[in-house]
Amino acid sequence: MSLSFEAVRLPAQAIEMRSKVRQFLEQQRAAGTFTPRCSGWTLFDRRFTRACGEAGLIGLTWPKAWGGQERSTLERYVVVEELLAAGAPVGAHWIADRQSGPQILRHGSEALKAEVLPGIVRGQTTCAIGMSEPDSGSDLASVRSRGTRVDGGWRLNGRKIWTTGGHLADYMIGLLRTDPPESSKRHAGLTQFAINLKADGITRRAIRNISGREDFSEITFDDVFVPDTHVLGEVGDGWRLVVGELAFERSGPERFLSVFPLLTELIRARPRNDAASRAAIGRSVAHLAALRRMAISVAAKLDDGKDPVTEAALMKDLGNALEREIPERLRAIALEDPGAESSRPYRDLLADTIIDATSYTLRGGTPEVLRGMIARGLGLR
Amino acid sequence: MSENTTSMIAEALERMLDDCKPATDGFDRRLWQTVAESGIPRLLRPESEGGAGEAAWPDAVQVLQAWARSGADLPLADTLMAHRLLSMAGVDPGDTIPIVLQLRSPAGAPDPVDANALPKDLARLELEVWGDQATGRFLGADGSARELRWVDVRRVRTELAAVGAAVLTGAMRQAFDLTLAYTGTRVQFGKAISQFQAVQHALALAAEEIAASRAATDWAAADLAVAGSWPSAMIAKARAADAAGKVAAITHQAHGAIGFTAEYALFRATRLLWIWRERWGDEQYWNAQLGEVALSGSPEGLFDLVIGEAPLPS
Repeated sequence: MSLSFEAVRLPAQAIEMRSKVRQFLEQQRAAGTFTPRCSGWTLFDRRFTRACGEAGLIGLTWPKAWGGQERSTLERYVVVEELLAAGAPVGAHWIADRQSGPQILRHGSEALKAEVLPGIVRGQTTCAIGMSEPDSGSDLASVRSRGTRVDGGWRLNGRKIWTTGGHLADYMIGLLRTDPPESSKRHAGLTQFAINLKADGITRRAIRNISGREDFSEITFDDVFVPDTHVLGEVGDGWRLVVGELAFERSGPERFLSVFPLLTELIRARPRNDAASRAAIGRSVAHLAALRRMAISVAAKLDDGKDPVTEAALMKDLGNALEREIPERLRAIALEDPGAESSRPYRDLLADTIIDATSYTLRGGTPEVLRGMIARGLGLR
Repeated sequence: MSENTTSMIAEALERMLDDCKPATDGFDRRLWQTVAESGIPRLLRPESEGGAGEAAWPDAVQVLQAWARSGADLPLADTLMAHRLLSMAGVDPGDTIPIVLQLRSPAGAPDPVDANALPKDLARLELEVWGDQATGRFLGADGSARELRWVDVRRVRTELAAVGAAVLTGAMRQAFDLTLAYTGTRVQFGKAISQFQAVQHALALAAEEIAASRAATDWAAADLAVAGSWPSAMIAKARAADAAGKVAAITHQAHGAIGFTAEYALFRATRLLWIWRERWGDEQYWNAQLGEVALSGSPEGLFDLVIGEAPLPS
C-alpha cells in the first residue's frame, strides 16, 4: 500500500506557538468571551475572530507582504489544534484561513490578494465556500450556476446552498459553469470566482438547522457582476482548482477534533472511575491520538509542496466516523452525581453534540465519496 | 523533517526471508541461523553488545513489520524483545539461541505463544510486569535458571506494547496486500471483484485501520528512540489491536472460501493478528490504562494525553 503517514516531530517553533495559543485562550476564558462548544470551527463570532487576528493567529503561513508571518504549516497546525481542542468559536475565520486565503494566494490576481488577504489576517474579512447547489451535492461537477462573459468581467446567475456562514461572510469562492458541459468531459467549463457577497443582485437567506442554529444558508445570484480580477486561475480550469481546495478542506484536525471539548467537559463533570468509563475514554484517546499523528504527517506533506489528496480523504473518513461514535460511546458513562448543577455543562453539551454529530459525515464530503477516492488511491479504480 | 521510514536493516531481513522460503510449516532452523547470524535479534542491545540500543527502536519496528509480513515461523519478536530485556538485566545467552517470552495477560491468562514457530531447544524468559515491579526468570536452553528484575516497570510494559503494535501492523499490511492482489484477479459477474463498489469501500475501511495503526506505531518507535513520552506505545498497541479484528474480518470476507483454507497464505497473517492482539495486553487493557490516566488527571490535561505531552503520572 503506497499510502504513508510518516512520523514527524514538531519543530521547536511549533512548540513555542503552542504556549502562545494557550496563553491567548487562557486570557479569553478569563475574560469570559466564549463557552467551549463542539465544532467551534463552524461558530461564527466576529469578535472572537478579531481577537485571534490581533493575537497573530490567522494567515500564519502566508507571505509577509499580505500580512502573514511566513511560518510553517506545522506551526499553523499547532495553532488550529489548540483552538479546536478548546472549543473556541473560530468559525468566522476558519474557512478563510484554511482554504479561501490559500486558494487566493495560489490562484488569485494581485488586486484580489490586496483586496482580501490583509483583512483576513486582521480577522476582519470573512469567507464562505460556494460549492453545493440545490441539485449538486456529492456530484459537484453538475453545478448549474452560470457565469456569462460581459464587458470587464462576468455576470453570475444561480444559487448556492448549505453554505456555512454564507449569510454572514464577506466573500465566497464559488464554482460556476462558464461553458456548457461536454458529454465526454463534464469537468471542463467550470471556473472559480471570488465573489463579494455584498454586491448588487445577491440575496442571502439563513437556514435554521436541527440544533435550532442558523449556521448555513442559501445564496441566490441574480445578474451579479464580478470583475475579471476576481477570476481564480484560468477560465475553465475550475475543477482542478476546486480539487486542490478540497485537499485543504479535508486534511485538517477539525475532521476528528470536533467533539474533543465534550471529552474535556466530561472529565470536569466527574465521571465514575469504573470499567465502562475507562474503556470509553481510553479508546477515544487512543483513536484520537492516532489520527492526530496522521494529521501532522499530512501537514508536513503540504509543507513539502505535496498534494496528499488520498491521505486527506482517508483521514477525514476515519476521523468523521470517530467523531460520530464518541458521543454515542460516552452515553455509557455514569457521572458521580448525574443531577449536580456542576455537571450541567457536560450534559447540555452531550445532548447538543449528539444532534451536531449527524452532520459530521456530510460536511466536506461524505464517506461514500471519500471511500471512492481512497479506492482510487489504492489503484482499484 | 520527515523521518525516513525505510530501514536498511528491515530490508536486509526481507531479503533473507525471501531467499530462504521455509519449505514446510514450522520452525526452520536454517532460516533462523541466517537471521540470528545477521545480528538482527540483538538489535536493541547496546552498541557494545552488537546492537544500537534505544536508538534502534525505529529499525526494530520496521524489522518486526517485515517479519510479520513474511509470515515466517520464527520466534523473532520474542527473541528480539528478550535480548532487550536481558541486556538491561546484564544477561547474554549468545547469538543464536531462540528465546520465547512468556507473560500472562493482566487478568492472568496464559500467554498464547505461537507454538508453531518454536523449536524444542529454546530458552525461556518468564515475565511478571502487571504489578508494581517487573521481574522475570530466565531459563536457558542448557537448563540454567536466573531470577531477574527491572527497575522501570512502566518502561518494560511500554516496550512490550510497542512490539505487539509493530507485529500487528505488519500482519495487517500482509493481509491487505494479499487481498488487493486477490480481489484484482478474482472474476465474478464478468469483472474483477475489486471493481465492485461494495468491495472497494470495504477495502478502503481496512486501509484506514491499517494507516492509523501504522501511524501510531511509527510514532511510538520514534518516541522510544529518544526515551521520549510514554503514552505513545500504549496508544499504538490499543489502536492496532482494535484494528486487527476489523482487518481480519474484511480481508477474509473479500477472499471468500479460499482464505479459509489451510494452504492459502492469508491465514499466516490472520493467525498473527489473533495471537498478537491478545499478547502482552489487549486493546481493552491498554484502553483502560489510558482511561485511568485521563480520569485521574485534570480536564485541561486531557489534550496533552492525546498529543503525547502529558507528564508521567506518579
